Amino acid sequence: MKSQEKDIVSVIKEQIEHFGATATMVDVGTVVAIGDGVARIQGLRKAKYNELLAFPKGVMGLALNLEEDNVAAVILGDYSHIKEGDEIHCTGCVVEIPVGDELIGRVVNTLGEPIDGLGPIKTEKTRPVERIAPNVVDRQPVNTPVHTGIKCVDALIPIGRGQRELIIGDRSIGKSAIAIDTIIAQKGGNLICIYVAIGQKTAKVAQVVETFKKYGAMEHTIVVAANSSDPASVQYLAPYAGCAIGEEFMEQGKDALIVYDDLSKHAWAYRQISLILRRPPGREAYPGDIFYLHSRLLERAAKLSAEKGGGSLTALPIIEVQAGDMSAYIPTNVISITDGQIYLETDLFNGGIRPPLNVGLSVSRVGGNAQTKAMRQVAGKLRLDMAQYRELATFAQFGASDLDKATRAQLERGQRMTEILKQPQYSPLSLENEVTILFAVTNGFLDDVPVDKVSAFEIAFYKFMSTNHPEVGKKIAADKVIKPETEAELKKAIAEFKQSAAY
Amino acid sequence: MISTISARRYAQAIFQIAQAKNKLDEWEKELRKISDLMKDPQVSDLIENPKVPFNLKAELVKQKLEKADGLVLNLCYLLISKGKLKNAGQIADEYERLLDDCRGIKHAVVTTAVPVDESEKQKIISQLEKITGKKVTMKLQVNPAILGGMVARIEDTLIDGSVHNRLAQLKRSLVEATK
Repeated sequence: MKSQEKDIVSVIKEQIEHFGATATMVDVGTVVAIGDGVARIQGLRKAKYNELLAFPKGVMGLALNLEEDNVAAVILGDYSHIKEGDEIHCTGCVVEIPVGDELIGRVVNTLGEPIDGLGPIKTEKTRPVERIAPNVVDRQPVNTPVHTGIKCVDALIPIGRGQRELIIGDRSIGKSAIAIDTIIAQKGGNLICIYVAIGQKTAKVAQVVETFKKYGAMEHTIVVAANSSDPASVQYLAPYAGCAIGEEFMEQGKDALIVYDDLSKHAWAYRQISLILRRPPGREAYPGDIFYLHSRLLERAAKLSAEKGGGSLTALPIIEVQAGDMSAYIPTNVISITDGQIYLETDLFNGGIRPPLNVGLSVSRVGGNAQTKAMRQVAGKLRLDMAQYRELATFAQFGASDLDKATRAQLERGQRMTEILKQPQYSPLSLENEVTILFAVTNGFLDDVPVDKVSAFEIAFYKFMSTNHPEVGKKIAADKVIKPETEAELKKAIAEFKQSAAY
Repeated sequence: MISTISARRYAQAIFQIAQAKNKLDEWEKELRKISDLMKDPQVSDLIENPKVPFNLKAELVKQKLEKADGLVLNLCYLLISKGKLKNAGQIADEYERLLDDCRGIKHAVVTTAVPVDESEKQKIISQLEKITGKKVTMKLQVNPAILGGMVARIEDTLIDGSVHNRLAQLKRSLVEATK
C-alpha cells in the first residue's frame, strides 16, 4: 500500500538522520531466582510499587514485593525462557490497557491484545489498570434501572445503573446464565456490556462468545478473558483491566455494565501470588489484603454526578460458594462490599424453579429507586404476596380440603406467581411484557388457570398482546407507568384473551 | 554479589566503629584477612563443627590472626558464637561497598566491541565520572556481539550506547509505525 510505504520511508529517513544520537540510560537489576511465575531481582533500587519491569524477549513483570535487598516481580506472561542472571529494566510505567469504542465486539486478554483472530485493535487511549475510585462528591444516588429481562430480578431484586449486585450460588446453578441473559437483554439499548472471564475454561468462554454472537449481543459487548491456563498474575489483573475499560465509558457520560465471572477464582489467583511471594497467609490461606483486593475493584463501579457527566458503571460480580455456605470468608467479604445479592439456591433449582432465586435471602439495597414506576406498581404487591405464600407453603402439603378458603386462595395465587417467575434461558423479556404478565397474575386474572398451563398461557398471552393490542404495550413502554386508562385497556385485553383461548 | 541482610548489618556496625576510630582502611585489610582465613578448608571445618567448644575455636582464630586489634578479635568471637564466621567473605564485600559509597567511588563494567587503548580508556572514565558525579573505577570487557559503541554498567544503572541497542530501537520504532 502506497501510504504505508511512505510511512516506513519517512521513518527510516528520520532514523538515518538521527542515528547515533542518544544512548539509553535505565535502571537495571539481575534475576537471582525464578520460579512459579515470580522472579526475585537484585538491584533495581529505584523500582516503585506496581511498576512494570521489562524482562527479556518483550515479557513484562509487575514489581509487587519491594524488599530491602531485592524486588520480587510477578511475570505477566510466559516465563519459561527467563533464567538466573538475566538483566531486567525499569520502565517507569504502570500496567495500562487500551480503551475506547474500538474494543466493542472484540475478545481481548488482560493486556488488551485481541484473542479472537479478527486483527489488531487500533485504539487512541490507554488507561492505567489500577485507579482510585470516585470519591463521595463525584457521585449521585442510583436512579435509573438496568433492565435485565428476567422477571424475578426486575420485579423483586431490581438492579440500578451504578449499583453493585452480587450473584452468588453453588456451582452450575445459573449464576453466569443470569449475567449472560442481562447482557443479551441490552440489545438495542444504550448500555455497553463488558464480560470479564477470570480463570474459566477456555471452552466455556468460547461458548459464551458464541452465545453472544447468536443473540446479537456482541454488538454492544467487550469480552476480557484470562483463562485458567493463563498465569495467576494475568488472572489477578483481568478484573481491573475490565474495570478500566468500563471507567472510560463511565467518564464519557455513557452507561456501562461489567460482569466479573467469577471473583472466587480471582481470589484464588491472588492467593497463589501472595503465597509464592511469601506474604503471610491468613484465614483459609488468603492474604491479609484479600478484602481490599475486591473492595477497590468494586468501589470503582459508581454513578457519577451530573457535573462529572452522569455516566455509570454497574457491576455484577459472581461468587461461587461451596455447598451453600454463604458464611465462608470470601462470600461474606464480597456481600459486605456490594449493594445487595441475588442468592441462587440448589433446592429451588432441583425443585424446577429456574432461575432458582431465593427471594427471602436476596436483597437489592437500591430497591424501588431503580425501578420504573410501572414495574413498581405491580412488583410491590408481588413481593408481599410471595412473602405470605412462603409462610404458608408448608400447609400446601395438607391438601386443599383441610384449609379455609382464604388460605387456599393465597396458596393458589402463590403457586401461579412462582410459575410466572420461572423463565427459560436466553429469553429476556421487554419491559411491557414483564409488566403486563405481572399485572395479570397479581390482580388474580390467572387464578382460574390450572398451574401446569400457566407457562403456556404466558407465551400465548405475549403473542396475543403484540398482535391484537400492541398499543397497550407501546404506551407502557413510552410512559413507563400504568395510567388508569392503560390499566382499563389492559384489563379488557386480558379478559378478551382468556375468552379466546380455552384455559 | 549476593549478600544476606545479616552480613550487611554486621558490615554497617563495623563501618561505624571504623569511622569513629578513623581506621577505615585498616579494618578493610583485617576483614579480608578473616575472610581468607575462612577459605582454608581445615579452619572452616573446625569452626563450623558444633562439637568443638567455643574456647578452642577462639584460641585457633587468635593464633591465626597474629597481632590483631582487640576489637577485630572481638568481632571474630562474636561471629563464632553466632555461627556466622563463614559469612566473613560477604561481610568483607559489604564493608568494601560501604567504603566505596562513603568515598564516592563507583565500580563500572564497560563492554566494547573491540579492545580500546589507554587514551580512549581515560576518556571513557572521565565521561562516566561526569555522568555519575563520583569517582569511577573501570573494568573493561570485549564483546563483539554488541557490534559497536559501548555498554557501561555502573552498579544498578545501565548506559547502553551500543549499535546493537540502537538497531533494536530502530526495529521497535518501525514495528510501531506500521501497526
